[in-house]
Amino acid sequence: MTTPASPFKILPAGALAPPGSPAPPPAPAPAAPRGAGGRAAGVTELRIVGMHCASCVSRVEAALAAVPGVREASVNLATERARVTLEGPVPAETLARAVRDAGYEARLDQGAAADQAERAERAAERARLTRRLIAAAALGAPVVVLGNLGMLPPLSAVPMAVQNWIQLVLAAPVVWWAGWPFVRGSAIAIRRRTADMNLLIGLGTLTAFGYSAVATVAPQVLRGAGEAPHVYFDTAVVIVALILLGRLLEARARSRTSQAMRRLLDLAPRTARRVAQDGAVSEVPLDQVHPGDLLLVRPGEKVPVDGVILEGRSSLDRSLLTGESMPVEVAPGDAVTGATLNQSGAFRMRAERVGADSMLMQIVRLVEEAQGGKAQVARFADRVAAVFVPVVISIAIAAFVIWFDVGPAPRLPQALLKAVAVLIIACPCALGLATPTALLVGTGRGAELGVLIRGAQALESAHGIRAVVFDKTGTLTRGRPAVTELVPAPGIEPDRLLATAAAAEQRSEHPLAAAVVRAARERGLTLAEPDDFAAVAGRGVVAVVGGQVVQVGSAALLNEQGVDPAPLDAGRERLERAGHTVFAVAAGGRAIGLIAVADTLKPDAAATVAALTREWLEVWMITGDNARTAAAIAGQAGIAPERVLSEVLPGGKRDQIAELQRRGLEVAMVGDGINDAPALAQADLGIAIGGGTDIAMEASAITLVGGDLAGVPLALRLARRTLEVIRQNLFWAFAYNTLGIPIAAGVLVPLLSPGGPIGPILGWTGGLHPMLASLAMALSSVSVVSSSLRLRRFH
Amino acid sequence: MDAAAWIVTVGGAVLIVGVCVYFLAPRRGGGVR
Repeated sequence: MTTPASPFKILPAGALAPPGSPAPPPAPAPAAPRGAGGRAAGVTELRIVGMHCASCVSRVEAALAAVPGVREASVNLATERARVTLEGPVPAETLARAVRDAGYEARLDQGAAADQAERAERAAERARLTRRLIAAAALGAPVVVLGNLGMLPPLSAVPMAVQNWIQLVLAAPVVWWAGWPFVRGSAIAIRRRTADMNLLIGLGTLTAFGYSAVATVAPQVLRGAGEAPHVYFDTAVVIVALILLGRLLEARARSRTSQAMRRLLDLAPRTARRVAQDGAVSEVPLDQVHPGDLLLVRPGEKVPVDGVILEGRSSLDRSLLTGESMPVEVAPGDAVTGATLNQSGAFRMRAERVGADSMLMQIVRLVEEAQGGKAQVARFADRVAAVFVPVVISIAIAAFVIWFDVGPAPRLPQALLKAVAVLIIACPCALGLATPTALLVGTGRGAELGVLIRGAQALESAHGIRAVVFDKTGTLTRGRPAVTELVPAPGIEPDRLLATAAAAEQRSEHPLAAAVVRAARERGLTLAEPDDFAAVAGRGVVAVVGGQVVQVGSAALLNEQGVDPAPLDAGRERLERAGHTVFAVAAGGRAIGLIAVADTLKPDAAATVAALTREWLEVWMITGDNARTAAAIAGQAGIAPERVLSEVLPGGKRDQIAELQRRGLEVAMVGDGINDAPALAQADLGIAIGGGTDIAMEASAITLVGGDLAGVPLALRLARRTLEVIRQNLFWAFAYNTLGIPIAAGVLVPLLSPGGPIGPILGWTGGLHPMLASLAMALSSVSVVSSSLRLRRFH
Repeated sequence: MDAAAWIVTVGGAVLIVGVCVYFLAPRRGGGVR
């Protein structure tokens, strides 16, 4: 701040326009809202519904790009938006139809309406899932009881045929209504040539249901083929209910991610005080502010847009945006950023970047891009299903062929039954439990330890992390200035230096002053009440304490007040080099010492860095601060100087993360400020420090509740462990059922059939016995649940 | 083997290859990864 000091006063409404300040240019025509009305040349946005993986994205992009008149289409999976660049007018309906033909839904609503529609749609989706789950559980429970205990008293009193009919009536709505998403999903999967979970579930439940329905309605068909008419309705209903439960948990988790963007947008004030040419001040909605407008910002208000101060001084709290707790002094000529909080004085500013050009909107865009650009991890189960389903179908066909060719008569029904049996047994009921149970137990344990993990994707990302990047302010450091050193002049007691300065600073609201007062109180010093007090903006304070004039502030303040600060110069240079903010203190016309204030390292920072380094992770630090301060803090934390990225601009943090990723590192970013949000979203794993901003937490996959850095290595270990358990669960979910496949295909029949080398065991002739299906189902479910429960012991 | 068995055998083989190619073959825009 090089402008001359002037005691600041609130400007009268008419006093305006320093000489030479440009008159506001005529307001430019407001830009047409994106995508409103007809779709002429330019860029339009569509909301796409129904995508769930990276291949969906490319399918929608290809479908849109194929529409005549479309130059380019890019689809963001996280935000479910398609951005379409048009060469000429293209009817919106044409774009929507192209999307629909590809098997997805397109919504044309825009802006706030789109946001609301989306929220409503997601809430409705959750409500639908809940209704389906309740129905599946309520109708499915008696089916499971009949299916497993029906042959035992007292239920065995009811004839089996009647029991089967009851099961059929109860199971039909579970499979066809509650399970409709899977039936429909199967059809879509077949059309898209991707064997996914839906297809596996659809195939299994429909085959089990269909076979059982035949066994119920026309048992003589099965008897004719030499099979007892057993039903498998319980298999079908259990899997529908479990998978619905998993989907509901997932939908809940997802509904929270989209809130990050909304909260960011909420940061901007809604209105601005515009100063007209005649000096009249009027409050206008923010979207009517144009570059060049003159705006008045009063104390306690948010700066409405990005711009430059023309008149007035103040200090700005940028902590919302940067996590930096030290307010910044601003004076005419200084640039200010929208959404920062004006603290002490009123000022006039010229609007420069508004709307989409503003820093806030750029951060929003960066978060959006980073979230969408990240390679989406296909769900485990989908990836397993992609191979498992074609293999199972192939085995079923092979079983059919072999039984038809060499099996006993009647060969067609025998062969058909074996193929159906393979499909039924292959459907792993515990699949629905594998991920949700591990997530529930793992995230529950994490919450106990202060680590909030959002969803399976966070776990998968944590697995491959090679580098951890820490934001400096508020993450590695406390983000709150504290007195670090007292340098008294010769003959002065340190306590007297501190007590004098603190007495003078008591009435100041500046956070640096607060740090001095706090330090004095912590030392148990008694503070005299100042008789007189004046704050000199950007310089410090002057007070009268105990009859003596006391100055606390910059060397320039002492000079102005006729005190020679020279005796303190050597100490000041040393402290400033080490990255401290230094106050000179004078009393009775004599310089009595220096007080150094700096942001200090969190107590567990060094231990955390050491713990991460022990696990062969690269530890980096990134900050917008100058190299000197950065190096000082990094040194204390034990971070290698070559891994310190300093003087990084807000948007630059994300680029630096991307740069590390280009070098082949999977990066975890630990941060707390809104300016960290794009970097947190860009990183393979974002870890937000609790007590930071909500937006940082929502842009992150993991949040450390206590703000305790020791949570970082803990979170990484817990995530790896949970992922391991999920993988083992998937193995168990498939294992027993997979073992059952050859039996269902009939490999034991030659041995166990009457007349075979072994003969029937307890009447079992080697076909798919209901006991076998139940056993596989029970064993895999128990294995999965007990495997997940091991996470409770994680520490 | 009779004619019906031959038809089923050949048909089954074609179906298996068809299913595997349909679902597993690499294609534009991702798919199995």
